[in-house]
Amino acid sequence: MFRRSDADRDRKLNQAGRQLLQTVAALNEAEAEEAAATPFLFARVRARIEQKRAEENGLIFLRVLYRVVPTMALATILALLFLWLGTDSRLTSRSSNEDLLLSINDVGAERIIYIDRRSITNDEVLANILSREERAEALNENSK
Amino acid sequence: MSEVEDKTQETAELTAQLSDAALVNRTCAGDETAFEELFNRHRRRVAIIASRFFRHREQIEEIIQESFAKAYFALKEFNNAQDQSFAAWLARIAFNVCYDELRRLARRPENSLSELSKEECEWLRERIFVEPGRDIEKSLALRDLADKLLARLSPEDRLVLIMLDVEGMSIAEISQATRWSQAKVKVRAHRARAALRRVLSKLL
Repeated sequence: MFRRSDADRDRKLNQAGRQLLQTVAALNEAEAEEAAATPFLFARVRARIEQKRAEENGLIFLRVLYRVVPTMALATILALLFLWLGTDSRLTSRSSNEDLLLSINDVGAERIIYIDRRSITNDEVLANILSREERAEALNENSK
Repeated sequence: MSEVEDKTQETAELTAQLSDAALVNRTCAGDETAFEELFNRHRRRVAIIASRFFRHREQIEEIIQESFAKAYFALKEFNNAQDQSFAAWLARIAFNVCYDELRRLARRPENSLSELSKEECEWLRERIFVEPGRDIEKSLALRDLADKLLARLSPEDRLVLIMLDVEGMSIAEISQATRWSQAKVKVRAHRARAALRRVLSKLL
């Protein structure tokens, strides 16, 4: 009994809903006719197409940026990393030279190497020249 | 000058004689007049589809513009799969544009609706169910109230009900237009009818 009345009610409501939708559609058709007959509508469509095309181009640019920026950032980070590592090793070698000059952390072997690699002073050069000349003179005297 | 005009008219006449598929091919090849001819042939149909969902002229014009702009960029898709008519293909785009617009409007908080008053319900009931012919063309108020009522449905429910009850489309056609499965369309239709019944139960 209840089921039948519920079904009747649903059927009635479905019919009413269909009627409502069709009534609204029929009422709006006049607006649709007017809208379709609007002047310069095609010109506006063309403008919309151009706008979308421009947006699409912008999006392509953004997509390219989206891919390029992380790559560039990674390359920059790597370059900075290598630069920093290079500078660090150079600083380390320079500081070790300074250590040798100042005899800090003086270890015998290192000092010997340092002394061996030391350049000749002007006094030593002069002494060398003089000793050569003296030796030459002595040889001359002996030969006489 | 007259020679140029004659030539233009001749081209326009030739274009008007071509089928939709041929016009699509010519548009893809860069012929702008072919697309204009397609627009002139089908704009009324798109406007009618838009009017099923929206009642303001500006909204209908907006749907026409958006539908044709989308169709223009998707013409190659139509060219690759010509298993349906251009009109049906364009209608599918128009329905989807309307659906997107309905969803956009539903997301806006300013579109939340107030309840219909008892008097408004009575008035609407009389106009729609008791005397549907009375002053129907001029009745802006009726459209206002009916819109208010239908806006209570979700965009999906509204889309399915309009396709079924106003456009008279079959489940298979709706499935093709919305790209939903037929089972989903059936379930959605069942729920949409239940939702509309709930909305209307206040009127009857």
